[in-house]
Formats: sequence, structure tokens, C-alpha cells
Amino acid sequence: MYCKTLMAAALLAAANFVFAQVEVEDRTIDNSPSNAPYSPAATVEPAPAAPASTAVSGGGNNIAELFYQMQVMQQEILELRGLVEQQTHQIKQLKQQRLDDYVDLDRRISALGQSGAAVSAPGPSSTAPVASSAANSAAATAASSATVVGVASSPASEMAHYKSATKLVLVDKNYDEGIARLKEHLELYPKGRYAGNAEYWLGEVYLAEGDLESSRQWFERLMQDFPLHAKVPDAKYKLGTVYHQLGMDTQAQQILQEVSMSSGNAAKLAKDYLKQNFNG
Amino acid sequence: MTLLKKIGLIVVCVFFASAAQAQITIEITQGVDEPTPIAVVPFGGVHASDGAAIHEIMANDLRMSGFFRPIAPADMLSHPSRQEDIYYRDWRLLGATYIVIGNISRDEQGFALEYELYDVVSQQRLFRKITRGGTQAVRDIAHAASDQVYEAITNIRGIFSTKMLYVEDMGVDGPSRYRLVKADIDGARDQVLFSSSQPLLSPAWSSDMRQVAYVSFETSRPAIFRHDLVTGTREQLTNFRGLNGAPAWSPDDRKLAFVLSKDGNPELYTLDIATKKLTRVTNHFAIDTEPNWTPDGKSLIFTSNRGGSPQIYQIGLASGRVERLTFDGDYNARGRVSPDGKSIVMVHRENGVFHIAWQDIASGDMRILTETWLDESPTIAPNGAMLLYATQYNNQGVLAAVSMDAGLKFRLPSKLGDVREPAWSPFPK
Repeated sequence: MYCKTLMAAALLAAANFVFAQVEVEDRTIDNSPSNAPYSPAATVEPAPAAPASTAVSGGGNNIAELFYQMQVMQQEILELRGLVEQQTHQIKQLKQQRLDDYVDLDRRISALGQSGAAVSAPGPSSTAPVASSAANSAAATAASSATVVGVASSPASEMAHYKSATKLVLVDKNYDEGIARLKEHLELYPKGRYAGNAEYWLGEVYLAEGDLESSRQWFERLMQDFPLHAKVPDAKYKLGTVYHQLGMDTQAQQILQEVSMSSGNAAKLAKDYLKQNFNG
Repeated sequence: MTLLKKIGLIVVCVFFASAAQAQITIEITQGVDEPTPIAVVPFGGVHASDGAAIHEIMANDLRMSGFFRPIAPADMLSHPSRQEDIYYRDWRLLGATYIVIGNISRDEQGFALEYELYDVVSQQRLFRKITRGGTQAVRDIAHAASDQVYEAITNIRGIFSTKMLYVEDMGVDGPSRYRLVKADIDGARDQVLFSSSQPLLSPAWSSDMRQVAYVSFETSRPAIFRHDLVTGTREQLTNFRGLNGAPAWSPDDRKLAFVLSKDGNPELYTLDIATKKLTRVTNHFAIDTEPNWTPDGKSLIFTSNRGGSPQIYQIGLASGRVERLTFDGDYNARGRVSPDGKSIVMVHRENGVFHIAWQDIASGDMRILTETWLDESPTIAPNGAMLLYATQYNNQGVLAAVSMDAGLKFRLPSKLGDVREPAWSPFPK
């Protein structure tokens, strides 16, 4: 009825066509009437075969045989080609999977080697032997998503330096030392991969110490230096609260509203803060 | 394919008043979980005389998108048409997230709709725009405004101004048994482009929407015709022995790809419309059919059984290099490339049932989009967010639509004959 459906049927029945042809040829050779009701095509096909008679019947048989064999081989080739295509595809997938597995394993081993090194040499000045984006501390997680790639000569020592600074702040709560170490880090690696994080933590530490003005400056500097940094939404939220405490309500509302439009944890915090303090 | 009996689904059917005159109406069978409530306030100013109120058409469009739940004008506490008349508290009580207000004015040239979109939560105006149109273009104005509202909120270009083609089989022998119909995408303003006593197949839009190509059996064998929608002239492009089918326009509208079996078995060809130069694209003793251009115009995807079962392949027109794209299942056919060229949709057979499936080309991930039976002829919206396909419902051929994430589904049943072979137009230029 519809050409498209006919074609779909043709595609489906491609294999059957071959065997239908076979039936037709068999009939001309065997001349067995039992096959007659099977295919209407048979009534057309045998017509030229009948007058071919005895003289050429041998040659006709050979051609028919060749034709039959060609059809069988064509079908065989189609199926083999399908198999090759599938296997090529599977090999490609396996290769990719092997690579992915290796990268995953490498990442895990690196992380393991790093935590081991941290245990054996806890001194803050020790250089970690393995450089990788390990994910076993908040600082390292943030670092892995940092957008600025460091150009420092030794990424391992850069990370060790940054970690020692954040350890002073987060673990030892030694804020004065921590501030000094973070500033030193920014001097050593001004465009380093942890520079944005260092600026963020400086803002946080000054905020914790109650030095609102310095806190404001560091958060603003982060937004200016690394506008696409992963810490920016958090920094904006904190900056909003700093503005609020400094009495700069307009700026506070503006920046908090800006953050609350985004997604993530900072947006939620900003919304809550707006609700509590600005009835927004 | 034989006709299988379709089990009727019990669904909530929503009929739209504004589409009532149209032959095809819309029934939403599955919407998104929480559609955004939006109030399209009846517009101030003069009203169009043909009875189709613009705000109703817009509400209908937005509902059809599945992302919105329009609020009925009767439920609104007020019908503001100016910013100063909006009381946000009232709208928040109604649960509206957005409000559309505006005014219609009329001059010698026609109507002008001046409309504004407001965010109820932030109490801010998102935009203010003016859309103009002739006296007969009320629906065009409404659809254009719906497009703007949809895009402003979802960041996805709206498709309400697009059109569709479909073939209708009236089921009664006669000179107008098969009809090629052009209609708005909401089913309204249906217009018969051509009718014939013999089957019509595979309508395809040119990318400038000025021409369509289709297969007609009027000359007793299938032939490909080009139909100019501006002048109404028709031209027969092919008249070869055997199959002449599945035309597809190149993205620059200069060429047409199709299938001919003049040399024995179906192969892909391209025809240069201006020079009438015919180029053979595939050469294989297996069946090659159903070509579709990639958006860059550099390659075709097509269905072939060269691997023993129907699968979708891609061929580079310059290189002639063939690459297989589908590996899931033993039947994948009628591929269509998405407008961004990154994914394909196709007819996929699973457990003997034909569904529409989506596949990411790079990763090979496949997703089955439809649960209906005997689904065929997928055609993708120009914004890539939805597709139309033909299926069976209540023993009748109907069109249905599904979003690419399978979240939204609706049917477009016809009041008259069997509807098949949809073709979603490109964006109007």
C-alpha cells in the first residue's frame, strides 16, 4: 500500500528474497509441480526457461547454479560484514573502556600514594612525592576544579605549600600563621592553580577574625582575578554577608540576589540569608 | 507491515477551544511533572474579528510546549493591561510564576500586539515587545509572541511559528483520496496543497520553506515531484524504472537526495536542482534507502542492510567513506539527524514492536522515546527539543509528538482520515 512500508518489508525480507529466488530456480530444474502454488513470481520466471529445451539446458543449469551460488555468497558477505562492523565497534568500545579503567586506577593509586606520604612525612615543608588531583580533602577538591592551570616549575611543591597553608587555617586554627603562609603562596605562585583558593581562604580567615575590611578586599580580589573560579559563588555569598555587616545593604542585596539566581549550595545560603535579613 | 490492533489507552484528553475549527487537535498524554504556571491575561484594546483571541492561542501554544500550565482567564482576579495595574500579591496567590499582559491596536496595515512579560517572584519586567501583522495574520502574531515568551523563560527557541506537512488518507476512492496538507504546528489553518487518487509519500520541506518535495504515484509509478509553495507550480523531477523515493533537501536547498532502483537495487542519488545533474552516492548490492542530510551538508545518513540487518549508516559525500552508526538491536531505520548534528532519531524495533528511539552519535547511547505501536516517520523540530511521528490510535493513523527527553507526549488526532508521514518545517526565515 505504502511505498515506505513496502520498503521496510523488503528490508526485513531481504534474506527471504534469496531463498525465494532459489525456489524459482529449483522449480525450473526439477519441474516439480508441488512448488507451483508457492510464489506467483514463479509463473513469470520459468517462461523463458521452458523453450530453452534440451540443447541449452546444461548451460542454463550452470548459469542457474552460478547465480544461486552468487546469491548465497552475497547473503553470506552481508552477514559477515555485519559481524565485522559489530566487532570493530566492540573493539573500539573495549579500547575506550580499557583507557577509562586505567585512568581511574591511576587516579586511585595516586590518591593512595599521596595519603601514605602525608602519614609518613607530616611536616608542612615536606614536598609530596606524587602530584595529582587527589580528592581526600576539601582543599584538594576545590583545587581539582580550579580553572587556572599553574605554570610553576614543580606542581608537587606548589600543592604541598598550599596544603600546608590550609592545614594551618583549617586544622590548627592558627590564623595569623595561616594568613602569612597564604600570602606567601600568592607571592610564590601568583598565577598558580591554587591562587584563587588562597585568595578565598584569606577572605574567610579575615572574616573569622572579624577584620571585615580585609575580608571584603580579598573576596573582591578573587572575583576580579578569577571570575570563573569554582569558589566564586561561595565568595559572593560571603561577600554579601560582609557587605551587610559593614552596613552596605544595597551592595549586599544586589550580590546576594545575583548568587541566589545561580544553582548550588551558595544560592540556597544566599536565599536563606536574604529571607532572614531583607525579607526578600 | 500488517495492521495490528491497537489497544486503546485511557488518557486524560485536553481539547483546546481555539483549535476546534482545525481538523487536527491536540491531546496531551504526558506532561512534565510540574509545569510552570503562567497567566496570559486577555489583552486590552481592539479584538480580532475572526473569533480567535490572541491570548487563547498563546495559552494553547504554551500548554502544548508541556513546560507551562496556563491559568484560565476566569480564575484571574483582574485583567490588567498596564504595568501599574499589576498587583503581584494577587498573582502570587493564584500561584502564577509569570504574567503576560498587553494591548492590541489596529491600523490600516493590520494588528499590532504590544506585550510585556513579568516575573511574579522578582516583580520585574523581563521584556516588552511589539509584534505586527496583517489583518489575516492574527495567528502569526500570537505564535510569534508565544515564541518570544517561551524563549525568554526557557532559553530555547520557540517552535510555535513553525508548520508541518502531513499526508492524509481519506479512505474513500476518488480524486481527493490522498491529500498533502500544510498546517500550523498546533494543527490550525490546515491547507490542502495537493490531492490525488493515488498515494502520496515522504513530503519534505526545503530549508527556506518555499518548496516541498514528495513522492506521488499519479503517473502510475512512483515519481518525485517538487512543489513551489509560493507560485503553486509543480515539477516532476524523476521518472525512472522502479523505486523513486524518500526525497530530502540539502541544507542549502540546491540538491535533493533520494533513492532510485533503476539499476536493480535501491541506491542513494543526489540531484542538482539547477543543473539536473544526477550523482550516484552509494554502490552496494544491499538495499540503501531513506537518506537524510547532516546539518553541514557534507554527508548523508541512510538505512542499509549491508550488514545483514537494517541499520543506519553515514556516508561522506566527498570521501565516500561509510560508517555504521547504530549497533543496538536488529532493526534501526528511517534515521533523522538533529539540528545540532549530534544525535539521530530513528525507528527501532524491540521485541517485534516498532518504537521511536534517540541516539547520541558520539557515545552511541540509545533511548527509546515512545511506548506506542507501529511508530514510524520521526521528524525533528527545528529547535531539536521535540519530534513528531506517525502512529496508530483507535485503529486510525494519527500524528504524535514526544520531547527528546521523553518527558512530554501528545497526540494530534485527525477528525477525518488516516494521517501519516509528518514533516516538521524549519524555522521561518
